[in-house]
Amino acid sequence: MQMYVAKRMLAVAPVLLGVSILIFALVRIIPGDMATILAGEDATPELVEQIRTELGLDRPAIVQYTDWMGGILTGDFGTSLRTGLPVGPDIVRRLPVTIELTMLTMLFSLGIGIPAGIAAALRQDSWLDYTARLITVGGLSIPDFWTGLLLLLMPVIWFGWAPDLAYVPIWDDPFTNLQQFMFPAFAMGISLSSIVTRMVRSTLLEVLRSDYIRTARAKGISESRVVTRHALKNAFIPVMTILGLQLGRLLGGAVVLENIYGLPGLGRFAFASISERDFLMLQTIVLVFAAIYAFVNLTIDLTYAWLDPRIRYS
Amino acid sequence: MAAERSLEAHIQGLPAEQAGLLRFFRALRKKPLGMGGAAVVLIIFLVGLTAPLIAPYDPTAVVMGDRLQGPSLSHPIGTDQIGRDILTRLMYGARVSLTISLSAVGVGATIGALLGMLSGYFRGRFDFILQRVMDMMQAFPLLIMALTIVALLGASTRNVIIAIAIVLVPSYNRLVRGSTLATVNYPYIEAARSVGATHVRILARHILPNITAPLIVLMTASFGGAILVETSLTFLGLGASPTEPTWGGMLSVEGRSFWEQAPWMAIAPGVAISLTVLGYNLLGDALRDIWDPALRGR
Repeated sequence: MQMYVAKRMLAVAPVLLGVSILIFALVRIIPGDMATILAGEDATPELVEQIRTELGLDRPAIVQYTDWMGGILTGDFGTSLRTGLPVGPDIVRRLPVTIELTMLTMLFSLGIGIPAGIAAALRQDSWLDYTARLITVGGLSIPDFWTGLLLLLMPVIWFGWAPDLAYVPIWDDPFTNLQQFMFPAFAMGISLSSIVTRMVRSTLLEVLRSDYIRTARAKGISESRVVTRHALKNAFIPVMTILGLQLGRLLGGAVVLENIYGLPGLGRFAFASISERDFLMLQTIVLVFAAIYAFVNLTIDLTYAWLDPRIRYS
Repeated sequence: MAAERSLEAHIQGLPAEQAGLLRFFRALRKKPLGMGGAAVVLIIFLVGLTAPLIAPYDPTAVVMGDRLQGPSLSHPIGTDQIGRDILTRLMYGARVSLTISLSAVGVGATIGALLGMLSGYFRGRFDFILQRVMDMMQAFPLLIMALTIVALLGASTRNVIIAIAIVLVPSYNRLVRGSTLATVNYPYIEAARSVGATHVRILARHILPNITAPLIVLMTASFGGAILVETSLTFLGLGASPTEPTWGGMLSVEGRSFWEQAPWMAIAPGVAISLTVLGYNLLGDALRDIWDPALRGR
């Protein structure tokens, strides 16, 4: 197990290194020159030059890169162009908001998706299965930002009620906080719960056809015990993988929904850096997103290596 | 019945790879949901294509006297805060979303498939390096990658197409590389090589026909997702210019303070997006079932 953990953890480093090079290069192939864009349309050449020197954009790319990465590895995430404040503490402050939003979405999706998927698989080709399949295709087709907007609009029209949009941390007032997170989490959860339902259904169907399940049934174990004790455990592994990969979709969705609901999370931070054309800050935030994505998926890999010995010995 | 037989006779007269594809699409007729999806997509295409002819109004005509009107005979889905006809704007919006999704999937699939074929056919160092680059691209959350690319290139329809095409490349590369690896060891490829066929000829005439079915399945499945990304970007103000009628743009900030008075402004564009994506998804699911029945309902 230790060998496996070490191997997987070492494999993440080159990917993140590559990702950082990719994002660094991406920011520098903007058509037009970053200093000119930042200086504005009618800036004097002297001002452009001054900005270039201030941001260190006149240095060779390799120096800029090592400087940026060196900073990140020692906890210096750069400063915001607009406020002049360090970006690091802002990221730390905003992280819990995005984590809460994605966690709530996942909880909601698992709460709906797992029972629905099991029910559909156990009653394959029944009206229940068809209904589940139709609803899930529908759930995958509705844009989350639209659901988010409607969930904000409908209570206003029907009840003259809107959630308090001034963000309240969960440890200050859990009730108000949940009112704020419930709707965006639901909006994102519609597509994710559809994905979970489909995944649970199809993997469970596959597992139920395997030899060891036939053996269990042949031993005369009751069907409910076959499903709960033998089938579900193995069916959940692919579901976990999908969930980890879907985190990417959630982090993207967070950019949009944090904006609609005014939640001060990382997604809104990324969007702000785009509107302010602060590309150096955007570069750092995108790297943080990629790092979160990579580490969550690493954790999932390690979790089921721990749960399933076949994985760590292969 | 007679038509059925003559079609079958026609198929049998075709070269093998074309006959396979035709059978593939014919099987769709036994999939009511897939046919329904195809019909929805077809209708929206027709509406988009003929928008300038069939739209009742000018999509940008401001008529302040008609502002915030509810659905009526003259404005079936009402008007917005400056009196523009919503039905007309939806029809024109279809053009933008369909153009973007078609071009982005077209470009992304072509590049991804080409790289995948070369990667799977030649293998070696090129394959290794390319696959590591693809790993890195997939390490970014998709929408964030697309968002960053558009932010850097500047908000425009063309740049949205470029961004979506780029984020689609890795999945096509994966799929086609896998299919090519599976095909390349068949004896008929070796036979082709031994009679002196060039690499280009082997790739184009012998490998490509064998990977078209999974490619078509993935492309159909991508359209819906491409529209969702496009409308999200446009909604955030990172797509076509705000004056252009787009589905995402109709839901963005400008009109939002009027939604309480005119909820149809908020509902109509979302329904249009959802219906189009649903059409594509139903069609995509059906085609995938036909291609690989084992995946049914996934």
